[in-house]
Amino acid sequence: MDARIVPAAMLPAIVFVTVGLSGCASLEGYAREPESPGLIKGARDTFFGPNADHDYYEASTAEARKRVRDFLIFGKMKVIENDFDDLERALNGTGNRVSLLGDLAVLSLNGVGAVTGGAHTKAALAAASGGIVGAQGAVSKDLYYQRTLPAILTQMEANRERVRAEIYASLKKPDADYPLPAAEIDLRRLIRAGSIPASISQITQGANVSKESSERAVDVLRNITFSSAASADQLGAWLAPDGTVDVVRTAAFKNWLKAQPDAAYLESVPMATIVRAPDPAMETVRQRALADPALGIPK
Amino acid sequence: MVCGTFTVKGVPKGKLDETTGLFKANDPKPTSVTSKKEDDGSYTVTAVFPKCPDETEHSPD
Repeated sequence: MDARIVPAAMLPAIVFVTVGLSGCASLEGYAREPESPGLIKGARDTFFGPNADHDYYEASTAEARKRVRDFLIFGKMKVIENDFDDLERALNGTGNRVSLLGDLAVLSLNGVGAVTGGAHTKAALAAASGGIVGAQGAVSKDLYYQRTLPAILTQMEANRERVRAEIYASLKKPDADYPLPAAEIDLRRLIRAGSIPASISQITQGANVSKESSERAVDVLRNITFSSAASADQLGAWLAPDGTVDVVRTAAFKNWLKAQPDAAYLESVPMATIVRAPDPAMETVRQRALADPALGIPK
Repeated sequence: MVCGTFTVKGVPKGKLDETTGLFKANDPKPTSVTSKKEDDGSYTVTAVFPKCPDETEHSPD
C-alpha cells in the first residue's frame, strides 16, 4: 500500500515544480531586468551606503556641491525606481502565479486521484487538492491581486510622477535653496508615493471628493425658480402634453437618463427639476435630450 | 436615487399640472407633492422624497 502511495503523491509535486520553473517570467508579464542583481546591489551601496554622501559634504564650492547633489539624487532615484519595479513585479506576479499554479495543481491532483487505486491514496490526494482550492479561495478574495490591482498601480504611478516632477523642478535651485537633506526628504516622499496604503488612501479621497461634489450639485437644485426657457417648455410639453404626464415618454426619458455618462448624478434629480431648473447644467441636459434622435422629440 | 425635498417656485397656473405630474412620475415616488398659491398668483410646488441616507453629507430634508 505504501509503495503505491509514494509515487502517486510525487506526481503532482513534479508537475508543480515543472510549471513553477518554466512559467515564472511569462506569468509576471515583464521583460527581464537588464541589470544583474549584483549591479543593483552595487548601486544601492554607492548611493545609500554609509559613505554615500561623503563627497557632498566635502565639496568646497557651492557649484561643486550642487553637481554632487544632483548626481547623488539621480543615483538614489535610480535605486528607488528599481525597488518600485520589484514591488510592481511582485504584486503582478503573485496573483498570476498563485492562480495558474493552483489551477494546474488541482487538476493534476484530481487526475492522479482518479486513476490511482486505494482509498488511502484517494483520501490523501483529495485532502491536498482541497487545501489548494481553499488557498485559492483566500487569494481570490484578496482584492489587491484581482480587480483593484490595476487601479492601485495606476494611482501609485500618478503619485510618483507628481513627486518626481517636484524633485526635477527643485534640482534647478542652487544648493543653498535645495540642499541634499531637503532632497532626501523628497526622496522619502517618492518612496511613500509608491506604496499601497498611499495609493488606496488617494483613491478613496478621490471617490469621496467626487461623491461630495455630486451631492453639492444636487443641493443647488433643491430650491429652484420655474424656468420658461425654450428648452424647458419644449421638453415639458413633450413629457406632459396639456399638463397630463405621458407615461410612455416619461419612461423613455428615464431610460435615456440612465444611459447618460452622468447618470448617477441625473438619477438623483427629479424629472420636474431637470425640466424646469434654470441651472446651466440642466439646460445642457435638456439640450442633449432635445437633440437626441433616440427620444425623437419634435423641434 | 432621488432623496430629500425639492421645491419649484414661481410655477405659472398653466404649468402646475405638468410640474406636480412630473414629480409624481418619478422613481422612487415622492411621499408627498403639495402646491401653495403665492401672492403674485404663481405656485410653489414642494415634493418630499424618501429621506436621504445618513452618509449623504448635504441633504437638507
